[in-house]
Amino acid sequence: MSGPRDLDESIWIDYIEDELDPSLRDDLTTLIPHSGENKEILKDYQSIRGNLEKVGKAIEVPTDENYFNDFHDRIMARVKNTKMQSPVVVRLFQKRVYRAVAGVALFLIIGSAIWNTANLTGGKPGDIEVAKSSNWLLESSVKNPEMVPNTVLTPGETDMVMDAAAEKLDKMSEKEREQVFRRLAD
Amino acid sequence: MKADIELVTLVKDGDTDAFSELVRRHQQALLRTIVRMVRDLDLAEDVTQEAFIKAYQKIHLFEGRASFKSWLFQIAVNTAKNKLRSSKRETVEIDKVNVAVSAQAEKGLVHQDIQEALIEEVERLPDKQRTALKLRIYEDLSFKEIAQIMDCPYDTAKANYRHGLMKIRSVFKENDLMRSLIQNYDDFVVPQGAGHSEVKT
Repeated sequence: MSGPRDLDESIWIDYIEDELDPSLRDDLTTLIPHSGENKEILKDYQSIRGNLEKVGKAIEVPTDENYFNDFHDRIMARVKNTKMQSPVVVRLFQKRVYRAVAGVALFLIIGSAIWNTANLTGGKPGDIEVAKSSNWLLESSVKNPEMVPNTVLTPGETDMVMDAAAEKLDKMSEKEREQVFRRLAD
Repeated sequence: MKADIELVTLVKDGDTDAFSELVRRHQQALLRTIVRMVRDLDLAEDVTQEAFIKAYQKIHLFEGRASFKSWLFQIAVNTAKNKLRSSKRETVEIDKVNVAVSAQAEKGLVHQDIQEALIEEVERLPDKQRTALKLRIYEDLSFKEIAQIMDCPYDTAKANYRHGLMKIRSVFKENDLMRSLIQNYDDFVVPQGAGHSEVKT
């Protein structure tokens, strides 16, 4: 009897590593004496693992106390000449700050778009207010990056700004529009 | 005796004696692991020292999500990989793959030969498979610990280990060397360590 041939051979690795559900493990244990093919696979993996264990143990590693006292002292001598990175520097590497920086960058892009829109349309009071508030948000986000993820404009809001700009351009006369484009070109 | 995490808190406040205690606790296990990875005591000493220095420098990055030991081992394993890369010990020329095993097959095998061939095949494995295999077999670490050290999901650590073993089996079978490996295995008693189940076949 050769036993089931469709067993993935990795199951025998899991078997050796004790990584199987107990009931499956019991089933496989029952199968082994009746399946030459699977028995061979298991034996192969056991011998590879067993040989590697032997190899690992053959590598000489120091064990005496004096060696490790000396090793410890060498490490600590280096540690004493080493500066610990300050928590502030460490925080710079944290993902939260990366997100905040990305948020600030997004603000700069959107803020400048709003600012340009306000200027293009002759700086009407409503537009100037929008620009002012975007500047306030920019300043605040630089002072306190933690707030940025909560205040960035959503893509929908960006669309709204673009729509408003397009609407204003539509309402302009041909001459006014030409002046705007000339200013843009400058 | 203070727990590692308590010592880490003290180190963050500038207490180098607490770091000295962490070094005492982990230096032996760390050096043992690295020696088995790089197979050179001098290089392993360098890597271990460097790992402790890096851990000290970046101690504020340790947030206690994994154990300090896993975090330290992760630093050491990555340092070892970089050192090996820079010393070009990992260079594998494609046309040389399997040469060691084939050469051994031609001249007939004694124990030492088959073990050397096995070591060489392990060294030829892709980085992640080799690391998972060494941590599991040489250090008897759990897959959870291996995943923490390799900074990957549990299943990935296990998959890397499995693929490593499967690749070795495949090479030895191709070169008709499994019988010698089994013979070599039968000639010594395999200790029944934790996590390694020995089954009478």
